[in-house]
Amino acid sequence: MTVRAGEIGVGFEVPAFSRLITREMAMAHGAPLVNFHTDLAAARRMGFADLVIAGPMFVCFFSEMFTRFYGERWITGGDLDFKLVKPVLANETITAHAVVTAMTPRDAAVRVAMDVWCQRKEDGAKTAVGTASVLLEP
Amino acid sequence: MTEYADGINPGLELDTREIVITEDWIEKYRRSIDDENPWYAGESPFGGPIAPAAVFNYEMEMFKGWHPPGIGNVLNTGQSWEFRGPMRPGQRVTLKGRVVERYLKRGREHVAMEASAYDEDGNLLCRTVTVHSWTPAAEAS
Repeated sequence: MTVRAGEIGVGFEVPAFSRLITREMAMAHGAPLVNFHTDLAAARRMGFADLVIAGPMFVCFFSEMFTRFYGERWITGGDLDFKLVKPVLANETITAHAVVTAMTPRDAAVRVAMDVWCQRKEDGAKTAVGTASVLLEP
Repeated sequence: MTEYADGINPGLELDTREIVITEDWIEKYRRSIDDENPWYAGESPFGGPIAPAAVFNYEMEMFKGWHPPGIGNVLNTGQSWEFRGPMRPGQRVTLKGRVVERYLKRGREHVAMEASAYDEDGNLLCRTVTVHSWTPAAEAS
């Protein structure tokens, strides 16, 4: 069942997607490359306390959040644009968020615009910020 | 417009690659985000299992030739994505990449690379633009 535009409005918060990013997850994501994303010694040589999570991990967080909520509408018409503003290390908990900022009729559908961000649980810092949109039935 | 001697200039076409979406790709995604979305293993609204929309999140950066040699680690400053169609296990997907922008900002070099995934009929499945940056001084090291 896909959500319809009439079921949400400006200010609506999409159910968040949160994970403690373990070293195992970081290594699975970065394999087979060996670098500061997957090798602890390499990360420490560069001055990081733990593995540095590769940026593409966060498109997974956003896309998974939207796939769960918007379903096939996300997969066939989702747009996402984000900046990575702070590094994330292994063993930190990151939550992807989205809040609806505008709903604009387009032909027989509604374009839902959102602000998106990833937030670190440990210090509350935003680690990625951007926008997203999806086309829904009215 | 600046022409870079290393040839990495806007418009540069990168090697086209073909990838079959195997269960290994989906398993790698599942393990990366500790996720068990049932659509990736069973029924979905598209009829049968699909691959995660972002299954190629990292692979879309893996084109050769869009970084000058010897620059060391790069920073990923951001990404944009368009998702336009479901990908399915067993499907053959063609990945195409090209350099779309290169500029100096706050003392750092930046290159933007666009990567697109197409199905067997040439339909766009997803597209991303990724921006990587590095310090010009590192180029000499």
